[in-house]
Amino acid sequence: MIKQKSLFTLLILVSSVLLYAQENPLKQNRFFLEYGVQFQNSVDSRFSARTRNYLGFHTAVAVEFLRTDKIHRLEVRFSKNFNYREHIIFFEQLLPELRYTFLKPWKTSNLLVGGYADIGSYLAFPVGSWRGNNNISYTMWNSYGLSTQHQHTFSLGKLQLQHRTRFSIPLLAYVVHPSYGLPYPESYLEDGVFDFQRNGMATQILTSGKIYTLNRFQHIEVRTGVALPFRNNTSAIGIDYQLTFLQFQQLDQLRQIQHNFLLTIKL
Amino acid sequence: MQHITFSSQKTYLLLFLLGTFSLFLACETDQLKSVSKAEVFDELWTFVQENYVYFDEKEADWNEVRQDYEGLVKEDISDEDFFFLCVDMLNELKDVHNSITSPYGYQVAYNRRIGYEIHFDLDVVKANYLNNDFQESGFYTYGVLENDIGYIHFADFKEVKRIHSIMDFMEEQAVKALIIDVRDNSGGYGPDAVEIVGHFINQPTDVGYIVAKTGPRPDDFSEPRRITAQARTPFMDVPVVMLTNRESYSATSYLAAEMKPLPNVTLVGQITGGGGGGNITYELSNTWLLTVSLDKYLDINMESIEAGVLPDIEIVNDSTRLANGIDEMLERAVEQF
Repeated sequence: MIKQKSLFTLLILVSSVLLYAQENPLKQNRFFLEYGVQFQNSVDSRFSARTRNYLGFHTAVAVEFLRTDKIHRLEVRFSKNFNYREHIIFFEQLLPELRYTFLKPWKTSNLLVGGYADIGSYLAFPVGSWRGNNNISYTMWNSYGLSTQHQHTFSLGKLQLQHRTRFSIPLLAYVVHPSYGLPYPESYLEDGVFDFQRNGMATQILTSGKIYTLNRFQHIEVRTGVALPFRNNTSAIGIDYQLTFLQFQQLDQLRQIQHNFLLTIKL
Repeated sequence: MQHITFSSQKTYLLLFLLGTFSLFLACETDQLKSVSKAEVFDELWTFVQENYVYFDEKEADWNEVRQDYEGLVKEDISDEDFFFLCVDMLNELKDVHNSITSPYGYQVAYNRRIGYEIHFDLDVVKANYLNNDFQESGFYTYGVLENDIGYIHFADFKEVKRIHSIMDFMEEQAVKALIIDVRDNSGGYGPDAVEIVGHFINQPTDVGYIVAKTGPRPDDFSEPRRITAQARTPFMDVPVVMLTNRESYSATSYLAAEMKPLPNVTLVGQITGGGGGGNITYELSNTWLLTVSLDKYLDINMESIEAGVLPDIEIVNDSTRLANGIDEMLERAVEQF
């Protein structure tokens, strides 16, 4: 419910951006909606060596602020698995993922490079006949990395289509993860902080992360899609495919491969 | 107008193939790959080796156990026989919190009841001591015995916080003493024990410690971390007897260990079932679920309670007398006052 309210609130806020004039070609705002199906293959070695497939849906809203030839993009992404109850390990986003991307042209107007910052979180929680009382795992991150985008227009018969391919890779990440075997973050086990009843753990979770580089934290995204513009090229509808590889390796390992097949709408 | 170039076409085709291949890869990895019994055995042994906290206390040489059992693992034995072989190996640790769940059942590796006479019947208490004048709230049964002695039986560590309203009741009844009966309570969420303890202290009080496994190496342990109970209202400043038996296990042992050192509390009955370890469950490659203890509770004197909490006064019920409606353990508790 919290996630749904957050997404709805964000939709309202982002939609308000459309109220700003878009007549200045050097200053434009674009609003994107995405809906689609997600196939996810996940494993959390804290609970199992087996990977599992999940089917779910993915949705996102994004706002792009174009200033001269630079792009600032804000995205809120939300996904949920449909059939997790068929599995005894339940993977879910704790909160929608937030991402800010900055891009500027490099050598040609079709190729943009830049960077991004994002915040994401996942919860892994076994359901069913599991008897342990420490069975919970979470991975939360705030990462910074490189981003590129290639875009161009091409014709297919009588249709003029837009094509865009994006790639991003983190270089540095602040990651929060439970300490070995227990649901507590490492800093929560400090004397004077630890509370057996887990009071105050939420704050400790946020402040107990560590900095990791690409060798330990990978959150790589490749995305490609085509869109058909309409309304004098001010709007577009298209399809995208996004491949996401998320892996965090400490004493245990979280790994997810996501395939998103999306319908995208640009307003 | 820009047309697709041949190199662009190759790029698109490559991306499409990459995505499609990844999809097939994802589907393929969900197939339960065939694993040998030797692999499962190794996986089980290694997980216990890296996560179990009580090797020293159990005086178990896990390497030696491996040598004893590894030779019995043959690929041609039935899955059921292999399951019970794994249970037997786990049983070498004599830990009731260790278990394996498989299509052949849920097997606790160790039976804490062996060698103990355990006789308790709450219906006898209700009929013959509470005279059928009692109330129930969640897993609590409570009332007032003769001579204004409050009685609370706590059957399970669920909805623990109902204790607060029950203590309000006891305060209203102006009980002069209190019996907390946790016989046959096999435990639950250990941290909740302090909710009960809180009614018998009037300031924050350290009541025990937790030591956790912090890594896969044998000596990867945290320093003991204090468990502090906060005072709860009403403060029951009356003599208290806690009744325990061998079925009082896990979180109930935590409760007994936390109550025992309090100045107005006496433990009467039978040594508890122990179970001082918090545990974690892991799915083996053949889908069996393995549960082992990976953190341990220590009492305020830093003594492990894994083997059980000894009562101050030992007494067990006689099954024949109990069948005749006499709960000797309860009567001994009443005598304390």
